[in-house]
Amino acid sequence: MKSRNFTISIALVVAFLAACGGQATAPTAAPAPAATTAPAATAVKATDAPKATDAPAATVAPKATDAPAAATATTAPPAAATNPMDYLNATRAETMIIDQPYKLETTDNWNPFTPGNATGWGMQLGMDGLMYLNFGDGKYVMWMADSYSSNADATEWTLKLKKGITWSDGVPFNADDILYTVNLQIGNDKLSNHFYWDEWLSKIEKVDDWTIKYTLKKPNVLFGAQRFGGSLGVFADTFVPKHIWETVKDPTTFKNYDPAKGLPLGTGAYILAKVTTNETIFVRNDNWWGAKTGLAKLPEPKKIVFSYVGTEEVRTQTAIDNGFDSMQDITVGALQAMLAQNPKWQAWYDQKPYAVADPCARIVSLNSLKKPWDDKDMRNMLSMVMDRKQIVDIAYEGSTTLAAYFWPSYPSMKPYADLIDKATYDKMLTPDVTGAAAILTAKGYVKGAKYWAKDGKDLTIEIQVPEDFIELIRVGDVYVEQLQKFGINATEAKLGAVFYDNSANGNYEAQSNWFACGSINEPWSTLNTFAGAAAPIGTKPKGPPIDNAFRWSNKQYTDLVAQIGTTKLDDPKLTELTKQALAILYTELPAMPSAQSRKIVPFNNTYWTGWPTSANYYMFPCNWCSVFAYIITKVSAVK
Amino acid sequence: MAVVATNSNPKIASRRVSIWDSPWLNSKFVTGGVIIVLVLLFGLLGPLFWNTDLAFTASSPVNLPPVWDTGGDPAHPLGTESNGRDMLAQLVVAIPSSLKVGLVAASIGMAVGILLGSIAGYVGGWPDHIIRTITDSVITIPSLMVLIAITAYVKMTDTTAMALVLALFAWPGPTRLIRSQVLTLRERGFVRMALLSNVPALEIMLTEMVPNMLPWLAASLTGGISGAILGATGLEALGLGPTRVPSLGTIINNALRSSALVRGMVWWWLPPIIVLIVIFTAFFLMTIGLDEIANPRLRGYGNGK
Repeated sequence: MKSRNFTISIALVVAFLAACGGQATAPTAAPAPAATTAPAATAVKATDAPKATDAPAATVAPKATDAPAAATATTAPPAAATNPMDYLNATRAETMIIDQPYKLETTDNWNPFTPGNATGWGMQLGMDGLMYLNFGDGKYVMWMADSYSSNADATEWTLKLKKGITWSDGVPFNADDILYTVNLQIGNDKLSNHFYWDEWLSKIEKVDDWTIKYTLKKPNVLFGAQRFGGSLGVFADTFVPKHIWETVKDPTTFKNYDPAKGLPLGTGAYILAKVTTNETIFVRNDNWWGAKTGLAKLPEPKKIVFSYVGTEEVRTQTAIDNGFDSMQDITVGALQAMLAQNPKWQAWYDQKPYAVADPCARIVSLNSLKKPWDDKDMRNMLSMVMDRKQIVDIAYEGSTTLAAYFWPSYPSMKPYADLIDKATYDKMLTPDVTGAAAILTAKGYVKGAKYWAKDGKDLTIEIQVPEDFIELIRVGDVYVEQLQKFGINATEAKLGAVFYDNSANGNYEAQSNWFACGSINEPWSTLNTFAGAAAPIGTKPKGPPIDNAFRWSNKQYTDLVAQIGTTKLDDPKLTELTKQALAILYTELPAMPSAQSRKIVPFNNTYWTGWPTSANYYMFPCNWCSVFAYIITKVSAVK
Repeated sequence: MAVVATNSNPKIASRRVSIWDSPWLNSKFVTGGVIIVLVLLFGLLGPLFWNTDLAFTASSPVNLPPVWDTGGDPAHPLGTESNGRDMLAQLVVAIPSSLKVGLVAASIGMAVGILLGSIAGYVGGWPDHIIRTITDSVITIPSLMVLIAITAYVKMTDTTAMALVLALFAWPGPTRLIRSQVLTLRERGFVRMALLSNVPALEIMLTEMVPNMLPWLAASLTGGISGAILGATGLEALGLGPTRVPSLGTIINNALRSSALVRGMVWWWLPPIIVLIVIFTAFFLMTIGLDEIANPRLRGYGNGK
């Protein structure tokens, strides 16, 4: 028996140690906004956009029609200076390593239009965007787009492309590829953007090889920002090469993955060379069109590695040992440890709050189809209990600012934020447990020894959080405790992928999330997330303005949002419409703002320098967004 | 009732005259027991001396070092962590909570084990075949993997739920042990005598066999408790335990989640680990002590009792 006990003890100790070592909690990360989230709109007119600084190279860009229709990705780059695959042997000083907070679950799906694809693992460098929004000055950097414009009532939009753009196999990129991509999405409801085109697009036409005309079904003043700027202005729309994809039988099952044949094929400065579950390796394409046309300098890193090493603890230690050049979001404490042990690292600010404000405000969404949260007074009661200052102090350790908005507290949003009723807003910044208790008493609840109860049943609420999202978990931790202290038996459920399914199908009472994300410098995108009917529980919503995942429905509000969507930003009517919509939203509270999010995205100056900072705000510092393709051209090797 | 651990050796028999000469006063067993009682008292009496409300999120200032370190605050002698929880208050709440999980899970496992083991060993035949096959099959399942899968789906609102889940794998060991003991006991003279006297089977099991198995049962129970605590701590350290009420594993999980090692926040993870080491050592001492009590051949003169 002794030996049996000994064996069991040893086995359990080993299992325990293994469990400790493999602790699955992932650090705070920055997933892209939910698919249902409306893309950000911007107020920047095409004419405001900086002009491209270059003249297109006259020597390249044969017409698309000149390209062999059946060309394959194996086509050798013309006059390649170096075989890109040689860069797999690049030294550390020639390599950039980017931290990834998650394992790559699916290594072979690089189809940008199907769910669960791996494109977030570096294809932001393999594909170029049309234009990128710099949150710093609110202006666009024109990239593949040369300019865009619309007619007076915003029903016709014209996009002009730069000349000289090529795919990395040397075949020219032009209007045919864009038309092909849009039509592919229109023709298949399983591909991303399908429902957007279905709602808005009447017709897409090629004017010439570099000009595309979009005719809309109804006016949309934000169309240019939404589709040419991409989601939030930093996640660009992706286009696929017609000469490759037109031979594909089923675009919904096509993996787009065969590095030996050059797949996935993009226009970006980097080519995918190698993939494992822990890392992806991209090598530089010296024939990148951007450098040839003078758009930007050829990025200096010859090899870029996206690498997952484990928990935040391991990631931070790797960073201290210069194993990374840039990290995704980490916690304040980890950053402070890193800065203390390796002064070559820098954050957005040199001191607290260190972080850059994130465009997606955090909210606690409440399911308006579930009792008792179908009652707006009960939803307001929950908001009154929330101590947002404590959330800032504890959950964020002081690294964010106090606010109660559904959108980011960017200066560009101030004109719209000021339209919220001041008394209502100010009350949200301090908890009001007396007021909350009065509401519950009026509703027939009685405070027992511990909890408020009605008809002998304690008042309970379950708040769901994504299990790998430390930031949202910590917000949930603090709020649950506030509710417990007030007398509501609140619990927190940490969920994996089912978190997102539950949101879509309405299987939740409350969720700590960011699903009202959208507005950057106009009010419609965030307000629109609450528009439409309440999608029935058990059914995935088609999305606003048809229905919404908050399961909330208010016709007057939906009508107002529809009008806001067709009102130009300089139209005085916009102020009144927005004010009315906000009044309904802040009275009804289908969700409640919990915190302003922030991202701590540290950069390492050991091998590379020129990173964006608050003092050098040339682009939102996001290595998981499309804008990283722009940032990489601004970074130089440390001599 | 017959006593199985009889000894005809006159030297040993002469040692049994004093009440202090009981085999239950085995030094390892007693030492382990005293440590467990002290640990338990810390948890049970702690709330009388320390405010356990401080064990919850946002109840204290964040990231305070222990009182002996620069910046320490006597109001939080063991410091606080990044979610504003007092480390001492967390230990006071966590210790009884973790011991409770172990005790409940192991007791359920033991109860099931006594029932199934006795039936299998005493009745024999096809019930024995069925019970033995199921037990042997379950014992080969890597329980931690299955428990991780189960706890991912079961809502862990409190430690009782965790204990019930752990009990799912706590019974095969005791079942096998008790079956083997019953198999030997049923051939003993006193059991045969009881059978000849027409004593009902249940009574024979409860009055003749179980008392003779007590040291084995106790050893199995203490082993089971520490196994269940280890299992619970592993799951909690993975983040699969109850989220709100602290337990030793949850404190470790919070430390791991907050990069305690790289931040040098030793007081976030060391106290629960020290407590766990003390608990496991104590239960281990109790288990080997009980082993010696049950098996006189393991007792050497002058080598414990």
